[in-house]
Amino acid sequence: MRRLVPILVAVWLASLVPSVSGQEPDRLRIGVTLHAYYSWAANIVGDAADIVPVLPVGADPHSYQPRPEDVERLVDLDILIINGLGHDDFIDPMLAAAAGDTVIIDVNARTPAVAALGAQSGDAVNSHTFLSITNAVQQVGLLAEALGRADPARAELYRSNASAYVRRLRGLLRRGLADLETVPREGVALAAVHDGYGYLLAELGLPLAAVIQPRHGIDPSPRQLADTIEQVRAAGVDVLFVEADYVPDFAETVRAETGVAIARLSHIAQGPYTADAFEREMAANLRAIAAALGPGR
Amino acid sequence: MSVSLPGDGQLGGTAGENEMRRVPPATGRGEAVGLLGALFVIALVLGVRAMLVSVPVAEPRLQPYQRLDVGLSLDEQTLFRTLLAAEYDIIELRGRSGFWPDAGSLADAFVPPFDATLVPPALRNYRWGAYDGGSWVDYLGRWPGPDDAAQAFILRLIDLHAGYHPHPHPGVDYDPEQLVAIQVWSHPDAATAYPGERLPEAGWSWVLSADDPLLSQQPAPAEPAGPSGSSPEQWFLEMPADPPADPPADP
Repeated sequence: MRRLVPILVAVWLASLVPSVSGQEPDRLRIGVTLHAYYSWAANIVGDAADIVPVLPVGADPHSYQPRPEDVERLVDLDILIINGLGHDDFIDPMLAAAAGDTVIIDVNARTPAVAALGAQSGDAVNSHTFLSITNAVQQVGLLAEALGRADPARAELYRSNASAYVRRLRGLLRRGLADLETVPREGVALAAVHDGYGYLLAELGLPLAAVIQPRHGIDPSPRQLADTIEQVRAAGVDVLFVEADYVPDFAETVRAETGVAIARLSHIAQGPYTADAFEREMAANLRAIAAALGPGR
Repeated sequence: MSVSLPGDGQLGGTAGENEMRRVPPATGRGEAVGLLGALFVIALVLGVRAMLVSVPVAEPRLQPYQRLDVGLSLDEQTLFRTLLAAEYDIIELRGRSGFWPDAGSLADAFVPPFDATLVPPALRNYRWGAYDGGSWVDYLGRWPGPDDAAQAFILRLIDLHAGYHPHPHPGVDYDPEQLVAIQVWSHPDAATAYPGERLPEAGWSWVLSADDPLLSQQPAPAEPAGPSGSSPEQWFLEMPADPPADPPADP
């Protein structure tokens, strides 16, 4: 028995040491600033890397004020995926404070952005490029390439995962377009409460006649509500796309006052960060658009 | 208006102390001047700060053969984005086979606009064909039948690691790790024939968005033709003397 004790202790100690031969290469820690980027990155890397949202769940990127613990999360990131067009400007002071050597991937580096509402050409651009399947496809490709460069051992895995994901996204777009096949478009005036949905509507062949109220992320005041009603009437709007997160009374009052059909669209910026959030919410957006334009309008 | 001072004639003061004094009514002039001064200083400080932090908006440096995407119709802008988004599929298919994929292969691979079910109805009439130039490929989309509003488009991908680049040169400021340069060109004649390598001379325009980094990297456009100025034609003089013959059309 006295001989057995050291052997048992050695076996126990050995069990605590990870197997060198079975050890996987270092996992990337990838930070993301928006919900859409979380979904895209999670589908590209699968279980092979860790995705870290910079914004806490429930925080509004337009009004977010970084806290020290949020800055701490940036320190050990290998990569940070950013919008770079103004939707995540909060990240600049955070990166300066973190002073790390994080590699920044600007997903919009090769995406043509349109001018923001009221901006001059070359001035501020519409930062909501992530509210589009076409842009998502391009940016997932860019991400897969960039992540493969940072983690060459898994580059092929990332490419393969990205291809499968892109195929699913295109399936969504095909269904969305098919649902609109029999919908009459001529003479139907569409408007939205902000121009971020312009990218998605354009890839469905649906032009926006007006953007009624470009501010979002805030509850509309009574004055803004009155202005919206007036503008809907003046522009002869048939369907008004509002944010799913808007206060319900706002849309209901506009509908009651003007008779306009209301469709609620997700901004894909709320709720928990999940791999399927982008597909799920984009599918809901496509269904909402088809329903708003359909015969039951 | 006169004002009695407290204690006037009541506490038995001296005649001098008890005489009535005239006090002018309060006009607030001093306070008003002070307030205006403060507002002026605040406005001055804000103005100086705005001047310091504002970034002047740079006008896009378009070359004579370039145009901005804002001049396209909404559907054409969608086509522009869709073509750019095909880049990674084309690279992947080329990586597998060693050849630039033809338009049919891209349609089979579920890639819009080659798969017309993935674009809006207004873009489904385009007929796409590929022209393999070896180190680059052109995908020409033509609109069959008369339509004055429609334009022809070319998606051009250039292998940046190959020795020969078609004119105009894709630029020297690309990321050295970038595999290909991607360009979208448009032509007002929707049924125009494939022009070969030299797109600008055949009346094609390179479509760019105003925020394309290329516009801030490339030199300022040439001055209009004149005795001492250069002309758009001068750009074409930079072309190689003997460019390769136009590649055969890929059915």
